[in-house]
Amino acid sequence: MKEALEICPTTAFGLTEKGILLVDVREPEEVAEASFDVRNLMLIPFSQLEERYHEIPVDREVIIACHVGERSLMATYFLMNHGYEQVINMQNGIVRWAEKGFPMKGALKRKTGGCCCGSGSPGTDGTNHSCC
Amino acid sequence: MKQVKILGTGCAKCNQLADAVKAVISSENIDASVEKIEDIQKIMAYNVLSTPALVVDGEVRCKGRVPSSTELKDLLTR
Repeated sequence: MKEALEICPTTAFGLTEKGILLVDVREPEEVAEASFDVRNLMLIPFSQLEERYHEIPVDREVIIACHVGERSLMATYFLMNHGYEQVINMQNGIVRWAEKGFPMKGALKRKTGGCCCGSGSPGTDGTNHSCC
Repeated sequence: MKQVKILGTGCAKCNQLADAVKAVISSENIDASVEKIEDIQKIMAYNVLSTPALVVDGEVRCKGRVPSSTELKDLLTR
């Protein structure tokens, strides 16, 4: 299997400034807390990706992002398996994006990622002991 | 010998499934090897978004949950 193309948040930010589409696969409650403030943003929760991935354009470059870069990497491979050739994973997720001071709406409260188990929500206490 | 693989990135549920599978294999004397796959690229070779997942002889038989011992016995021996 071909290795996924990955970029850091700094490179991703530069590309979003040029208008690339950023697909955030975090769950709605995570997005409600803090989200990417970029020109072209699409929200498709990881837990709905199997049903909704067709909404992601196949004919242009897209960056996939999540909380810490794990779910987005799985999503990137999933899309590659479905014929997407211009899909890029953003490493380290919105946590690193926030640390870098890139544009956001809201503020992150939790440092742990959402669940890798697909059903998705991280623990509300930020510790997320039950998963990931 | 059955080739059993547990797909998961190392969360609690993934470890629960691995322990449960090993317990059933032992109690039922199933001739099987068990391998944990934690690398995302290798996991996604099975195109599984929901982990943990159970793969038996190359076939994904369960994903996104930890089955009961009874169901695991069926999944491992069918």
